[in-house]
Amino acid sequence: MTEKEIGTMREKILSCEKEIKKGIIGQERIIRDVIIAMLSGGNVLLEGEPGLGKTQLVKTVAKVCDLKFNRIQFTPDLMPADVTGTTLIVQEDGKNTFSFEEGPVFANMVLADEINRATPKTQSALLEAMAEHTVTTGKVTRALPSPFFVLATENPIENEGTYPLPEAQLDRFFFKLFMEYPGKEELLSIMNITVGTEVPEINKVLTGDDILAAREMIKNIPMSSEVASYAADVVLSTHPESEKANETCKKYVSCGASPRALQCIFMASKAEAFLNGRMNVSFDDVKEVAYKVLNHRVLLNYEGIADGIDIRKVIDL
Amino acid sequence: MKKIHEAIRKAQVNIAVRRMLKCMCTALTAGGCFALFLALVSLFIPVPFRHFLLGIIIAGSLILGLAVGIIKAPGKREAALILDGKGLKERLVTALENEGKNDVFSKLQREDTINVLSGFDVKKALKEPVNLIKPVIFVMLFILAEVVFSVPTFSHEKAARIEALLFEKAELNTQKEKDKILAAAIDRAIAEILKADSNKELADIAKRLNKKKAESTKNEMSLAGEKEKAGVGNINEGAGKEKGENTSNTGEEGEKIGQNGENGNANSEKTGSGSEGGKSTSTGNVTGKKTGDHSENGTGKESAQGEGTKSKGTGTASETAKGEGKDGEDSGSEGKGGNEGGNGDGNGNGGEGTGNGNGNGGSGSGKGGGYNKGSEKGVERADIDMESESILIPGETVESEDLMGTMGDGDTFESGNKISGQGEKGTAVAYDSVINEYKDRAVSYIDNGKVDLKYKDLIKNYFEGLSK
Repeated sequence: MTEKEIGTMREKILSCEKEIKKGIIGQERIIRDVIIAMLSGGNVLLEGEPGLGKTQLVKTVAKVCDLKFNRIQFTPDLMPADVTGTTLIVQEDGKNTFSFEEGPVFANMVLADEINRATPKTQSALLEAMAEHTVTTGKVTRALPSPFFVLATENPIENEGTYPLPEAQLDRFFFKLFMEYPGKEELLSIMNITVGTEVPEINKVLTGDDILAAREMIKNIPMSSEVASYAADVVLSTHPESEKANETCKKYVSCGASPRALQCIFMASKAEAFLNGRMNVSFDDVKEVAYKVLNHRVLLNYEGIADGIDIRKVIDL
Repeated sequence: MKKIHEAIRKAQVNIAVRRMLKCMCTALTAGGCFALFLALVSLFIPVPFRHFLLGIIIAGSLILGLAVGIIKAPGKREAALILDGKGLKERLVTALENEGKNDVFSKLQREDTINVLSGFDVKKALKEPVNLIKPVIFVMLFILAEVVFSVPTFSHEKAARIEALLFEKAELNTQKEKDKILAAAIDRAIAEILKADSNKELADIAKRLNKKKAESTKNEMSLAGEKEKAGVGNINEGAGKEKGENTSNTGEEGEKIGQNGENGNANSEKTGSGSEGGKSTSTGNVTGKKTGDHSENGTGKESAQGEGTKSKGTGTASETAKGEGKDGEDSGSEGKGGNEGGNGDGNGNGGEGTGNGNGNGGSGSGKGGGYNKGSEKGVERADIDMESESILIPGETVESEDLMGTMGDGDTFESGNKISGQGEKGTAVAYDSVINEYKDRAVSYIDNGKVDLKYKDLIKNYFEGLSK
């Protein structure tokens, strides 16, 4: 890896971000976070009201990065085989044989829409794909394409007939992001693009190989021991039994973040520093990504849920 | 990396100086609080040397603040972190950590840091608004403490008196040390005398001892002079200026007497050298001009026994006075020995120029009597054996021709002539036993209030002079 290659890669990623912003108006921070998660090899859980452009976002990212994109609409009657694929009996040369039909999960980018509507069984089918990047049907394990990125969405409005994601599955999401409602100017811009005549041309900027190379680059970004120690303290502060925990944590938290959370913070902060044009991680980078990494990993007790405690009060930044 | 280290060094110095100043301000504020507390306490409990304590508090606070500031001086890493927090986003500390690494990313990181540093003003970044509150507070606290210390209360008066007494005690201790040294010198002289084989050797030994005594006297006088300047004087007079003034007044008097002392007034030697001298001088004055007054203190009286009628041609007196004392009246016992030399003040001045024991008042022959007399003008008397020195003990009245001693140089009186006064026949007894009796009587007079307290030091010094 040379300095030139590193510089070129950074420019490509920034131009990818620029291209995505052409198709998605507003939500600049969400776009940056999705790119960071993608570069870090993580998956994103996106929470937002219907119609904010969650599907459009994933489609645009897939277009700019020249990646295969599939969408799965989760419903209560969705079966695991509908996600992973199934084995079918086909006739070949007069003989009946089994053939595996790949499910929608076999893509580079998968949009799992309204994941909380599917049954836990179906949700678990996605679990293996997200964690291992493989699918096992019968006795055969099949690898998913690389890079593989899942963007799942949750509808916060409908609660009837929904199944909250289990903690084990939640822990596998790199980030949990919240899409905000756009402002007036942004709304008007969206209208121009979607309903008007101004259709932006979105170009392919990155490839799958570029994303994999960028992933390796980002892992080498230096991080000082002070920053690493700070990140560790942040994760430890989510555990009520830890000396780093504040009073709110001790009172309202039942379970803190796992070591996987610290891994995600490290990777995300390095990607953040890289995209900011710095070759080192700073405290601000850690602060920027910490909440997004931790907010779905810290489990509140009944008192915390009842009092509607915000995770921000628990995490001591 | 040079630029990086340079930037960190600048930051270190800047931060260290700021911390030192902050620590000093904090320490001074704390010191100010303590000083005010001390000042308030001093309103009720005597606190001697309060101004000195205030100075100690200020100095101690400064030193403490400085020391803490030095201890808290930042290391390289700490300075780097602080500077990074001012907008460098942990570039410096990462560069420091990866200093020895040569991989692409570490090099790129260093380059990035240097690029950013080129447009970065370290001093400006570390500049903080000056907090004037603490300095103002500590100045106000010290001023307030000073004001409270200056309030005239009974407790402050007590403290002032305690201070004066402690100074006097220190003086006495110093004097004790000097006396010890002199006593040791005397012991050595005695040992040498015992080993001496000739009169010449004896004379040499005496000379050396006198020199030692003169040195001791000189040191005392210069010490007393310094004290006069410092305004240390009689506790009777009170502290500070008063003392000084009194002392100087006494000194002036002494000067006058000193002039007279050219004629041998030993007291004049001490004149102007401080309280002691002053006292001596005043002694001279008193005895000179007010012989009668002095005698009220006892010394005169005793000597006065030799005055008057007896003095005329008093044998005892004239022995030591060597025939001086024209007036005769003054030339009696006062002329005796060093003691009288000490007392010779009265002798010298009072007697219209006739120095009884010590020298002639007016005639200029100036023989300084006693150990500490012997002015520049006068001639020191030979050492005398104080213990076997005879003095007159009042006895029965006798005719003049029965009086002891030899006639002096003064006016002569024919033997057998009736004189106005009466002489007394006495017996020779050991000097020490008599002088101690005088001393005890004088002390008892003071204790009983028969003698004014203002003469206490005068009498004290008088007897100390005699004991030498």
